[in-house]
Amino acid sequence: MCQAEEEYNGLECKQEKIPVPTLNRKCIKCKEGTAVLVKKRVCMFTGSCFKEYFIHKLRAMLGNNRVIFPHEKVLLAVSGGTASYSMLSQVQEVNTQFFLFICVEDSAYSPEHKLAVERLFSSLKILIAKEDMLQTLRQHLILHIARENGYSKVMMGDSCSRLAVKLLSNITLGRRAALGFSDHRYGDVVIVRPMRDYSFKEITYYSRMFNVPSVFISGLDTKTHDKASIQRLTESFVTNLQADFPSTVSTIYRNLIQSVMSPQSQTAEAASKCLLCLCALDTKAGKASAFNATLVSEQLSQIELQDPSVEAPARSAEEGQGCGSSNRLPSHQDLKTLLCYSCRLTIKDMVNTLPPYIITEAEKQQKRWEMLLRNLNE
Amino acid sequence: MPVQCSNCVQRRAVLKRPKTGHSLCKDCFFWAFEEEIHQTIVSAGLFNRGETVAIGASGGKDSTVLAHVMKVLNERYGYGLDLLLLSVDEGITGYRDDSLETVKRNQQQYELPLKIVSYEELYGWTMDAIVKQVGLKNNCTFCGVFRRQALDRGAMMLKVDRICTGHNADDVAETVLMNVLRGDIARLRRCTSISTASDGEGAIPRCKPLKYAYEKEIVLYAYFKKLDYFSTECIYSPNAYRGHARTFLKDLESIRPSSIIDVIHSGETLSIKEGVKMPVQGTCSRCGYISSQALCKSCVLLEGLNRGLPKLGIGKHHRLHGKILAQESLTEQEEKKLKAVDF
Repeated sequence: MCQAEEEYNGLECKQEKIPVPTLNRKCIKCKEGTAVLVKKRVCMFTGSCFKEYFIHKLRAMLGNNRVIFPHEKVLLAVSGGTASYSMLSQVQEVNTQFFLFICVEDSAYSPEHKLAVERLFSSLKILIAKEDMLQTLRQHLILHIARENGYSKVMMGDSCSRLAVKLLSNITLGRRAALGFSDHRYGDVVIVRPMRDYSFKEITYYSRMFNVPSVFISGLDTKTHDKASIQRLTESFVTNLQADFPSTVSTIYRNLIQSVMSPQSQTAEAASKCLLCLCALDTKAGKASAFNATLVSEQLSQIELQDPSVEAPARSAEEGQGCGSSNRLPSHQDLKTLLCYSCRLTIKDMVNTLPPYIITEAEKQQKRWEMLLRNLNE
Repeated sequence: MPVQCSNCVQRRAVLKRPKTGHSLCKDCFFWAFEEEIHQTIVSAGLFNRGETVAIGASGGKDSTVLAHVMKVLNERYGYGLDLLLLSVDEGITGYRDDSLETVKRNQQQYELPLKIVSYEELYGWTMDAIVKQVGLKNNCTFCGVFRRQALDRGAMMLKVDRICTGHNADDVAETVLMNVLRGDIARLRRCTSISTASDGEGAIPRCKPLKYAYEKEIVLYAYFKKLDYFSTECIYSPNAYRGHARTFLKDLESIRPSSIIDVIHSGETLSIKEGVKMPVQGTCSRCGYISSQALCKSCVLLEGLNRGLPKLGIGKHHRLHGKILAQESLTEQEEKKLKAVDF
């Protein structure tokens, strides 16, 4: 470092001075009380000022976005973790008109159901697929409960840090970003994420200072090593990068979520939505695309593969793969045509262990396709 | 038990394809690799008959393989193209001068004409001199910006119709990840295009025929074909931000090999909301090169170097463009900010 000065002929190397927080600094909001916590280098607050700032942010978020109106029935999805419990306690402070919260537990199953769930997850060979499937099923469950009980809005407690990691891992899985404030892809039910402006650090401060209870439930990837799955790897990558470049999370979040259009807002009729994640299908891409390149590679590396460039599901009957009555279970090949790019990768190794409601939906979509083709041919 | 090739089934497999995991014999692998590039070229309509195409050649594995495959496919499928090699000398001792020797050998091996342009003759600065002024943190920006213009200038001197570069799937995926991490929406939208727009105005269109070829497969191809290439990394690269994206991508690939193409797929299918501000393409008022600002990036960087203000051009200094154009001197405060360099 000292050598640089000699080369520059005495010009001093201007070092950016990072102020070292000392004790007894004043809160930057009220300027009176002594600060007890540091949000970001120079942002220091007293306890009550921090609480005010925290709640104000939520109020502003709900007000600006105009998706939730007072006296509306909203479902809060609470997993028991810090973020969702903070969301619950905050929402109670802001407005007491919201009803019902659900806990996503894993213990309330009957024996046959438990067996079916175990079979499903053991047929997914890799951790990535398991995590992906868990996420999808959880989403389906929450939607189902919302619809059953007549809720049109669901609130989820994802923090900014969690969303940034999810976004990046979505990109690496081949899924496009779909995590705006309000998620409209499910039609009648809207998913809202009021905690998305809070970093995980702020949420933790809040819950510690104001004694918000929380429960830690170990997930599929707890205590696994960094390379166990893509989701796990992404999380550790972003966390490490954040340590060296403190603006990483906010850059990813702000620029992507606010500039990129969610795939579901593109015109997508019911027939062309992915079976599992319900995003618009992205596998009808043009000839010069990454998807096409993967198909070509598969074709060129094997002998006598059936023509993979055909995508209409009705064709599977012609390929001689167990064609017969329409009462048969959809084969692996048929299911693939009803899924988006990344869901295809998830079920790659899985055969016929999907839950019955998904299989029923698949059959319905297949019949719809067949009818469509028949009408076109007439 | 020896594994048979999954394509021809007759010969024994000698390698496992990183892209698909299939075991292939040497000839089937060569054929599959070349055929995929041919399909990419044809389906994206990269070239037209009778065009002169400059291949950006650095002497490294990507450009050597590109030159070889282009020559092979041009003859095999009759593209009708005139190929030549174009090389850029950045003036990095111990790296570029060695790789240029490799390019000269390639010229003889493939019997293609060669042109070398250097930073010294175009800008009056070599990379070694730039690093002395700028330091080790932001030097890749200078090199990248200057090289892009150098390739275009060289191509204009040779009067070619198109440039092709050896960017492979790993490069494109890294670029997508890097743009996500840096929040650069404008670049994110453009970086997955296989070729740049060809709307005249002096900008020569360029394309990436190797866009869907994995780096590992390129290395395997070069190895089995015994191609002559230079395999050392640039001495200044360890400090680049791209290194983070690269490590991440390599880890991803080890978990799931299709990740590279998955990232490219995500990049291709992202779409931008309406109303988001995008830069508009114009021309630089000083040198006439394409630019989205009043002054193109290389003019700004050069100005910074010549005035001894290396940070001009790193970071946002749009307001100073007017002053630079008018050849005014900057205030003392502005100068102080721009002189600072961190290592």
